[in-house]
Formats: sequence, structure tokens, C-alpha cells
Amino acid sequence: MSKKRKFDDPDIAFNLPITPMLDFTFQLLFFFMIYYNPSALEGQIEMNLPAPSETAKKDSSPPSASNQNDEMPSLPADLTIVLRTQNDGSNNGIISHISVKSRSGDTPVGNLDGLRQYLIENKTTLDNKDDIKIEADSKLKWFAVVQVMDVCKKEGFKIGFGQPPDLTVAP
Amino acid sequence: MAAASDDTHGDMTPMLDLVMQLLMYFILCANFLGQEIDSTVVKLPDSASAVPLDKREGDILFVNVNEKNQVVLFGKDPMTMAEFEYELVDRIGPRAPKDDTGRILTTIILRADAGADYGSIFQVLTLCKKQHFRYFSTRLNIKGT
Repeated sequence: MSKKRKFDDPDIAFNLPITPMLDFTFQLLFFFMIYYNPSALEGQIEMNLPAPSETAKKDSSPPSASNQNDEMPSLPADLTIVLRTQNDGSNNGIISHISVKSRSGDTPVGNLDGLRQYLIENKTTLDNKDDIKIEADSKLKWFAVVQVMDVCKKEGFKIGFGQPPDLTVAP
Repeated sequence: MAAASDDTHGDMTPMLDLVMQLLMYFILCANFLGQEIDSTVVKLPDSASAVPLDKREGDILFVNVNEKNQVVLFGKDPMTMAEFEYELVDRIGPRAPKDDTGRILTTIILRADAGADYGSIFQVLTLCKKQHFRYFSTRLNIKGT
């Protein structure tokens, strides 16, 4: 009863100490400001590495014992984009040659615009309009492969990866 | 003239409000997700066709490949391909969740540096596939951000 009267008494003012709270808040603020590191927005691309059984189904051939387990990533794609690079000191890791391998042969396309044009013109004639394979030199830089992936995704292909011709991977 | 005993107190409340707002902003923008998305380990290439992240991902394994073509797993030092294979075969693979048919349900999320070699990335994918990983995606910076 006496306590209640004490709280209600207008003569008694509560003085909440704001300063320590403000100090503490500033400390926290500086901490988070120092560690503030806005990163670029990340996205993703699904990579098409089907199970051996799925690949076999598309190929309409019975799965063999060897491709049940340790098969290299491969796709039953009609088109294979072949990317070459030079290691001449100045052009290390960038694309020096692009060609498209199909049933009709190997067609050089020059650059990414040429590749886009080729895909637009030839997509309707393909049996497998969904999948495409990229086969690049092992020294080609990843950003260059991503540029080609962008072109393929834009034309509606799912991307798979072929073994670099200059790389031997133990089975 | 004001009496010497008169104290002048600035009103701290608006200042505290402002500081709290700033604090909230920086807390929300803080990025403590760890080394698996540490931009100092790998600088992802830009891509115009990358889509926003799928938040429904289940069990995932981040595999970073740095500019020196070393594999960097969360909480571990950079390793060579041989060391990564050992890690995959002896530690990661046996512990990964599997379905009834023995297929590994873990999604491999590849985060490769823009300057990494395609050969290294292909080796990583091949090693993962040899250990029966089936689900793969690659992380890229969405162009323009």
C-alpha cells in the first residue's frame, strides 16, 4: 500500500540512466559497422549431371556395369560446345576458339554472339532440345565457362560438362 | 542570468532512437554465415542467367574452389584434389544422408572462383559423382548487383 503511494507520488521522479545504455549501443553499432560487408547478391545455376540410369534411359541402351558407378559426368546432348584457350602469357585462360560439335561435324562460331546465333538457328533441328554439353580446355578460367553457360541458359538449354581433352582423370 | 545550480540536460531519447535504428540495420545486414560464403576465399563470376537462391535446399555441402585451384571446405584449410577425395571418401560420403536406394541426398553447391581452372572444377564434380552425389548447383553473382 505504501509502495503504491510512493509510485503515484508526483514529487518522486524516476531518472533512468540513459548514458550507459547509449554507450553500450554505440559500442555495438561500431562493431557491426566495422564488420559491415555487403556482398553481391548470389544466385545459382542448376548443373545437369544426371544419374547413370537416367542417362541410360535417355540413350535407350541398357545400363552396363561400368556406368552404374564411376561414370564420368556426361549427357546425351546433341550439341557439344568446344572451348579452347591459349597459354601464351597474355591470353591465359580466356577463350581463344569456340566451336560446336554436332552430328554434322564441327562448326566454328567465332565468339559468344556467333554461338548464340548458332543455337537460335539450330535448336529446332535437334532431337534433344534440352541438353547441351560444354567441353573446355582444363586451363580455361571458370568465368569464361560461365559466359558460355549464360548463352546456353538464355537459349533454354540445361548444361552438362564434358571432360577436358587435355586432362586425364583416374577412373 | 541562470542560476549556477540549473542543470541543462539534452534530451537523449531521439539520439538513442536513431542509434537503435542504425544498430538494427547493421545487425540485419551482418553476414556471419562463415567461410562457405566468404568473399575473401572465392570471388564468384558474374552471371546474367543465375536465378535467386532456392531457400528450400535440404542438406547441402559447400565446395569452394579458390583461385589457386585448391578446394576449401568450411572450417578446413585449403586442400589439394587428393586430400579432397580422401575427405569425401572417408568422412563426408559415409555421413551424408541417403534415401532407401542408397542415393546421397546432399546437394553439392560449387562455389568456384572466377579465376579457377575448368579442369579443377571438372575434377571436383567427377570426384563427387564417383561418391554417388547426385544433386549439384553452382553459385554465381547475379549480374548487376
